[in-house]
Amino acid sequence: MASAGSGDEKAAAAAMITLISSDNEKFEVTEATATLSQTIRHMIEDGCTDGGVPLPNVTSKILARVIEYCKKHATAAAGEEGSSSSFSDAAFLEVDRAFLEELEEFDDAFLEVDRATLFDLILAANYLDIKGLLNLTCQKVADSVKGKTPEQIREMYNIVNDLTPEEEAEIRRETQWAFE
Amino acid sequence: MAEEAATETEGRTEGGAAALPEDVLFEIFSRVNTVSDLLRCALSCKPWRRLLTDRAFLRRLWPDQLGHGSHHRSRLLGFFFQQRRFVRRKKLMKARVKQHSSAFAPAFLPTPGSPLAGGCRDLAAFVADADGTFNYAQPLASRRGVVLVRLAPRDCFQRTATAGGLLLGLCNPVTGERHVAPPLETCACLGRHVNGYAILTGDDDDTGGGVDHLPRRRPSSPAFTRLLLTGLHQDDRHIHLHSYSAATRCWAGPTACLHGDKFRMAGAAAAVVHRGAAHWLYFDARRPQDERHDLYAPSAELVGTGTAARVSFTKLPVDAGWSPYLCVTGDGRLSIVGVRATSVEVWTRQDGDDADGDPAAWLWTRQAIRIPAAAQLVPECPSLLQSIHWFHLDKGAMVAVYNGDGAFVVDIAREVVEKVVDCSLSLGYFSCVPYEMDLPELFLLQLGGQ
Repeated sequence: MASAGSGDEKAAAAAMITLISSDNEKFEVTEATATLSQTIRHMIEDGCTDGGVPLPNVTSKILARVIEYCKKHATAAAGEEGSSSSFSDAAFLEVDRAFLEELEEFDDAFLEVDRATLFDLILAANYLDIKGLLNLTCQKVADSVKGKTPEQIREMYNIVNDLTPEEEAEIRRETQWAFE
Repeated sequence: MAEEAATETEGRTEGGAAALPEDVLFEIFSRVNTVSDLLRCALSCKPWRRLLTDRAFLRRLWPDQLGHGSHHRSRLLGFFFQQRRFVRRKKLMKARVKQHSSAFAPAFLPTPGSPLAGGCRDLAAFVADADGTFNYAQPLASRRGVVLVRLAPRDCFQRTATAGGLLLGLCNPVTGERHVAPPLETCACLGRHVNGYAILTGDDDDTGGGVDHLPRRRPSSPAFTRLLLTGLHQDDRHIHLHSYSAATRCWAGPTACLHGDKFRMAGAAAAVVHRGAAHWLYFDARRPQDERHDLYAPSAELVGTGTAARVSFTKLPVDAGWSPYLCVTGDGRLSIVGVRATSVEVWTRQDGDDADGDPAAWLWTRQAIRIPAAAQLVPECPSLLQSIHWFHLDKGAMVAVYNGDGAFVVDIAREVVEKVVDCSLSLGYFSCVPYEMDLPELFLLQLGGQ
């Protein structure tokens, strides 16, 4: 029954993984969603996901966001597989393009978070080894420092200036070119 | 107590940018692709500065020795090339000025993975150039991040080709530094008779006479400080040396150094700068071609802070065949590289003696490096050597640009050949210079001064 046709979906739906946040909240996700995280994928492969996967480094607030991202992108990955199997179908390509656009919009909206959340997402993406999310969030930070002065960078990311005025003046003299 | 704990978690989530783990910061910094942005990040706090002055971390950002295909990523950033010869026509020139078009600006072609990536752009995209000066530029030479270009003044159509003075500009596309030297007017070796260039930076001033490969004790500047030119004077048939200082903005009077009828330049127009002195390579033009065994290396050393150059002259008893080039090996020794169509042979000067004229001081290393991938591009035929342009890089590497078919880096010490550009220059070009800058070294020099 679950072996043919839309079996993929059913099989994935059947295999649910429980993720447990640092504040002990439980999240039920499909295996397809969970395996976007390489860390969890390895755990599943090693067969040590029974009774849930504790993630002591991730709060429920952040884990909820991470799962939101993974769900969206897991569907995207499934969609890509679907479209490649019927490559000649123009309608599918059209759907595909629309979906990619939607995904891009989702990513943009997803990044509309305060900086503390952004850093927590980066840390979570790094810990869970989710390539796409790590790339998305780090790129956001990298783009945000573009053309900014050290003061603006400090202000933006709540960084305490621990350089003495003398140190700063000296380095500034050496690196004048970076400020012009 | 509770408050302390709260601050701690807050610190991780709220103010944690400075304290993010190294791996995460690597992911962020590797996506900041402008060098000056990265430098300003390094100035925002100590942990970031510590990381961006850590040699291992910098090498990870700009891999140097990470196996195939990335060896020269941190150094050979790309090529500046000019596709069309500058046309000195009043009508054309006026049209260009009006349109602010950069049809003659040197284009930049980044090597794959170059930190200066971002597609093919022209030189004016890297340096502030509101007046369009660098739009009319021909790249002549490049060293340690500084590109020397010959500029065409806006009013050049009012002048004749020989009476206009030689207008040169220097810029650093990484740091954005730009410098336009006053025209060299008084010299009789103007324009096409200038054939040798040496770009010196703050680094050379510091190491002058010192040893290249020892770690430097104090930071110095990547800024351009002096420029040396050699050219053939038409009146006395001598090759003269001109020197220019960025600090004084003055050209020093020329020094006659070689007889132009006796000696002809071999190798690259860009001098090899070794321990603060510039070296070129000449051969004896009076001998028949197949007897030109000996090479001569005039060297120019700038003495003190002035622009006066001391010129010395060395006979090098090395028969490097058809096409000899000078090079400095990775461990700081002067070498001669004989280039063939698809291979190079290297003679390296033996360590620790100054008996330059003594043949025993030159060790024939029997080092021949083949460029197998080039074999299909050019048959082993000397007449085709003309279509290959060779350049030396810092730290013991040569670059061969096969006209239109790709470019290779030949690392002499490691005997490794790496293809860096694949057919992308196939549009052809009028002049081309490889652009090299050691970015980790730049960060260490600029930020590591403690």
